[in-house]
Amino acid sequence: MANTVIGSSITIDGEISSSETLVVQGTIKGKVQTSEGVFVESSARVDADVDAENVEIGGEMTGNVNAGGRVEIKAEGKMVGDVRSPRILIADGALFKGNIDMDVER
Amino acid sequence: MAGASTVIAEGTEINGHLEGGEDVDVHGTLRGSVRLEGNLLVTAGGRVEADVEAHAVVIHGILAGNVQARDVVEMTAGAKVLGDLTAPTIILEEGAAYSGLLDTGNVGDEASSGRNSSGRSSRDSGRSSRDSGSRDSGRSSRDSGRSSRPTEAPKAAAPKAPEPTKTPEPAKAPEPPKAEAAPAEDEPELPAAASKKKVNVKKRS
Repeated sequence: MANTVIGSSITIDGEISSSETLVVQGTIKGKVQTSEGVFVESSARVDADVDAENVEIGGEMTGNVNAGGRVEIKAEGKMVGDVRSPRILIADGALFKGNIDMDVER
Repeated sequence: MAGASTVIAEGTEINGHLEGGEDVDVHGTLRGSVRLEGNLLVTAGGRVEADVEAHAVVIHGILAGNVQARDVVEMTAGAKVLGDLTAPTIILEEGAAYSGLLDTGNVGDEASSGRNSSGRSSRDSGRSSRDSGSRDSGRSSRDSGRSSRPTEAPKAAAPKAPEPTKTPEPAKAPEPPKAEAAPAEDEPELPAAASKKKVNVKKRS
């Protein structure tokens, strides 16, 4: 069990930094930083700036996302904020408001 | 408690407040404060520097902070714990290092009439009488002019030495005379210090 999981009834107000994949089912306010992936699942609500390798958004997300790899906003995802990543996917049905910046030097 | 729904993995650090209704396993680091309906498990590699409120708290790793559990606090061999613990049951296994105050009295819904609290209050009353005696003797000469208000003296002594009737307060309420227990939050390094003065207590139950 290498992944960090924030369960659906959990609320975190603060800062998370990790070298592992982060799976969010609950609520996070603050700041998230990981060198791996962040999965914002459908029950999740993230009100934070996220800095990660890959970010997958299936829940509600408010904040800026900075990803070195890929950002995916899934069909059930709602995202408000700016995205900065070389690869960005927005699924049919996803809600998105914000700027996209793919001009990342790699 | 292995299958907790929330896991703070090794390599993950959380700074802030964590709150929720489920079990949390900490393999990484958690700083700040924790309030859970469920149980908190600090694994052997885990480190928690936070005040904790939970149903049960099991510590295999390091915990610095005050803990209030509705069920049990258990420290297993290898655990390093610094802070005051309040729970109806406290298990300190042989090989665990602990420094702080233990309180198995008045917790949660339980009435304050238990014999645990009476044992504690007798100790406190001994201390308070000593403290207030020395303090009041110095002050009484000064205050003797307005000694027409006899309620003043015990009230003034109260913050330093809790009155016996007030002892069943949660252990969160600071107990100033404890030199080694008080700095739990101020100095996160202290778990190392706690390990130096190792207390070995045989498992109670």
